Formats: sequence, structure tokens, C-alpha cells
Amino acid sequence: MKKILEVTLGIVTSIGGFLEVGSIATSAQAGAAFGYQLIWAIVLGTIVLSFLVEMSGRLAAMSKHTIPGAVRDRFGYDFYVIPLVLLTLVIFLVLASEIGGAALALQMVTGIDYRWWAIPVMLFGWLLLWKGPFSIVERWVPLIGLVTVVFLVGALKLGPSWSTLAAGIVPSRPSQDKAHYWFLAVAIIGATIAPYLMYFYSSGAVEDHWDKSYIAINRVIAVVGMTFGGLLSVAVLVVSAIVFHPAGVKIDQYGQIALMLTGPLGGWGFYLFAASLFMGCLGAMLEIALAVAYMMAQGFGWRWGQNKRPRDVPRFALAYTVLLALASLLIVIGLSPLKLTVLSMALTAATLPIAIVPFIVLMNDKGYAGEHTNGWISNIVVVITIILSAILAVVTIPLEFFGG
Amino acid sequence: MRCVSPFGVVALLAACGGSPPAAQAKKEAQSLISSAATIRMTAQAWLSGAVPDAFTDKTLQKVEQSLQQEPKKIISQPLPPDARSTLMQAAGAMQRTVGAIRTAVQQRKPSTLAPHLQQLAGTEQRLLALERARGGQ
Repeated sequence: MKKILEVTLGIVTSIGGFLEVGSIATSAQAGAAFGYQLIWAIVLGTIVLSFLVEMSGRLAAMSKHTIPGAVRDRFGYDFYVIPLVLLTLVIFLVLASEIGGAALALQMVTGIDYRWWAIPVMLFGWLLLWKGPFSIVERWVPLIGLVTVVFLVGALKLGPSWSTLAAGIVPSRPSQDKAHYWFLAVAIIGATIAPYLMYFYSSGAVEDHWDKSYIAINRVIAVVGMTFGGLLSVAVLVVSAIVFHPAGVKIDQYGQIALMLTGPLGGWGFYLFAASLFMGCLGAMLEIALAVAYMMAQGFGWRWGQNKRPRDVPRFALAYTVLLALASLLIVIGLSPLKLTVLSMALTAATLPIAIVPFIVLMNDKGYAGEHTNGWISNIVVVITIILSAILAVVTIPLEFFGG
Repeated sequence: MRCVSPFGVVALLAACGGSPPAAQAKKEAQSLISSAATIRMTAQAWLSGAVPDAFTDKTLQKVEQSLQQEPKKIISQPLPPDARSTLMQAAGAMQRTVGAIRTAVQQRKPSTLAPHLQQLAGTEQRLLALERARGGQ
């Protein structure tokens, strides 16, 4: 009975914690610019994410190692520093985007400029981490994040064309704006396959003392939770495709995205959108800050643990404190949250091989995964997707931002 | 076998991106159509009471700011003269319309919005016609 409850809670929180500023912004932009044509990117990203999340839990259950701890253990400190520095830089931009997203949600409702909200949002998140137990980040925030199901309600109310939607699952070439199309595909994949999610998940599994008995539970949570989460991203794209694409709206500010649910749901749609954006960003913000603190603590051998008091894990607590404070400054100085979001998602895609390839090596090492090493299907799907995404990101990022 | 560096690929793609005047006109028309649709959708959401005043004003202000950059963009691009003139007129008309709609929102006078929205619809139609005309070229 306890295990069934754990599976249910795991699935529900995976769904509630899936959408964040990156997936909302990239899916909305894709739907507005190309209709249903980029659904395949969400589907592909979600399949790869399911594999990776399942691997993260399996690694923790089999080896009692988190991903960063295992990478450092297997490849040595000198190697570990490279992904640590690169990923911290990219994840830092993602963190700033999440703070910007939550601040924008508050601007939408109050009318007070988002730059004024950046510091209060950061302080609120920091307080939850400083004072709250791990269950706040792991359970309660994602549970409230279930408000994002409103996108699915909106999509169903608008009545999408199911045949066109199904056609979008198969990759196709665009008739115009090719560079923008591929850039968005990469940004969607970057937003979906976020390495911080895996670091957070594996660290959470270690904090929760997972063992071999969790292998099956982990698989169900990863597959079902991520599939339904991916469905929410598809719903955002579908709503955007129906509302914005025929009108010719190109998304270049969050104010436009906030209108997407006012058609199907009226005034409730606007406030539920703002609530979804806020909760999605808050949840992601907490997970990212912890994920980087985990990466640093596990890499440098500091004491760590969100269930421990900050005074018992001082460097771990200092890491997320400094990170949150610096990231909020990027928003205070007025960087465009939408541009920052889309750029950071594409950069995430560009750096995926650095984060994922060492992890795949670990998952094929019996010393870590025991008798539960990876199968060839997951190895091939994950490696090909991340390498292709990284190449596309390297080519399309300059085109998108410097003219093409 | 010769290898092409990633920088070479980027340069090649960027070079292919340089588009002829007709295509530039189409792109510029699409950008203005997007602004017009944003103004219309925001104003309609405000009229139906679905969005607060402050949000409406802020969203329209952003569109207004981007419209203020349009004349500079239109002049700097190699566009066919007739398209340039239509685009300039549309950008000017939309700037006036969005300004008037913002005033109505700030003064909470929804009843004054109808003629502005009608004017906007006319501008949108002209831009759509321009986009269609330049689409095949």
C-alpha cells in the first residue's frame, strides 16, 4: 500500500513539476510560429527524458550514488570539473529565467514591473530552501503545480484537429523560416531534457534512501510521470497553435503568451495562466538551485542534504544562496526574460553531451548499475538525440541571434 | 576528403539567409501583422474583462515601443517602393491606434474602443494583402 502511494505521489508530482518557463515559452513560440509542426520535438525530448530520469533513479537505487558523485568517482576530479563549470554556467542562466518567469507572473497580476519582483521571488524561494524540508521541494510545490493541467483543459476546450496534431508527431521540414524552426526544435529539446532534473532526481533518491526494491517504482514514475508531463507541453503548443498561429502572432513578449487561455477560459484563463507560470517557475527554481548545490557539494566532497539544517551543511547552503542571489540580479538589471529563456534552453541543448555522455558510460558499468545496466535501445536513442541536438544548437544559435 | 568547419556551415547558412526585397517586404508585413493581432487580442480580452487594466496597458506599451522602431527598420531595408510606402503608412496608423487604445484603457473607457479596433482591422487587411502579394515572389 505504501509503495502504491509512493508511485502515485511520484507520478502526480512529476506531472505538477514538469512545466516551467522554458517549456511554456518554447512550446508557445513553436505553436504560434509553426502550428502543430514541432510536436515531434516535445515527443522526442520527453522519450529521452523518460529514459534519463529512469536511469538517474536506477543509478541511485543500485549504487547509492548521485550522478555528480558517481561521475567524479568514476572519471576523477580533473574530468569532473569540466562538466561542473560548463553546466553551472548554463544552469545559472536557466535559473535566472525561472526567477524572471515567476516575477513576470506577478507582474501580470499586479501590474508592478517584473524587475521589482525578482528579489522578493528569490527571497521566497531561498526561505523555502533554508527553512523547509526536502518534501517542500519534492512534494508540495509540484503538487500545487498541478494547476498547469489547465493547459490541457484549454487545449481540449479549443478542440484541436486531431489528424493535424497526429501529423505533427512525425518530423517534417518547414516551408519557411528554416533556421528559426530548427532553433525552436533545439530549444524545446533543451527545455525538456534539462540535466538539472536528473541531478535533482538522483540526489532526491539518495536522500530518500532508495534501494533495489525501488527499481520498478522508479520505472513507473519515470515513464508515466514524464509522459503526462510531456502531454502538458504538447497542450501548451496546441493552445498556442490554435489561438496565435492563424492570427499571425509571433511571440516576442510574455504578455502575448498570457492571452492564450483567455479565449477558452475567459478571466479564469488569465489568472490560471499566471498561477501556472508562477508555480512552474518556483518549482523549477528550487530544483535548479538545489541541483547546482548538489553538483558542487558532491563534486568537492562537502557535506550535503536538504533534510539537514543549513548550519550542518554550511557550504551546501551557501552554494544555493549565492546562486539564487546572483541569478536574481540578471533579472533586476533588466535582461529580457523571454530572450534569456529561449537562449538558455538552446544552450542547454548544446551542452547536453557534456552532461549526458559520462552518465551513459556509468549506466553501462556493472560497478555502478550492477545487473541493471542499460539496454542498447536506451543507449542509442539518448546518445543520438543529444549529439544531434547539440550540433543543431551550435549551428542555429548564431543564426537566431545574429541574423539568418 | 575536405572537412567543412562548423563556422563555415554557419557562415554559409547566414549567407543563404540574405533575402531579396520582396521576401524582406513579406517578413516586415508579417511582423506588423503580428503587432496588429497582439493589439487586437489584448484589447478584446480587456473588453471582455478577462485581463486587468495594468496588464493590458503594459502589453500594449511593449507593442507601442516595438512599433516606434519600425520606421527606422523599414527605411534601412532594401524594399520595393510601393511596399515600403504601405508598410510606413501601416506602422504609423498602428502607432496612433495603439496610443488611442492605451488612453482608453488608462481612462477606463471601453465604449471608445470600437472605432480604433475597426481602423486596426483595416490596417491588418492591407498588410495581409501585401503579405499575400509578396508571398509568391
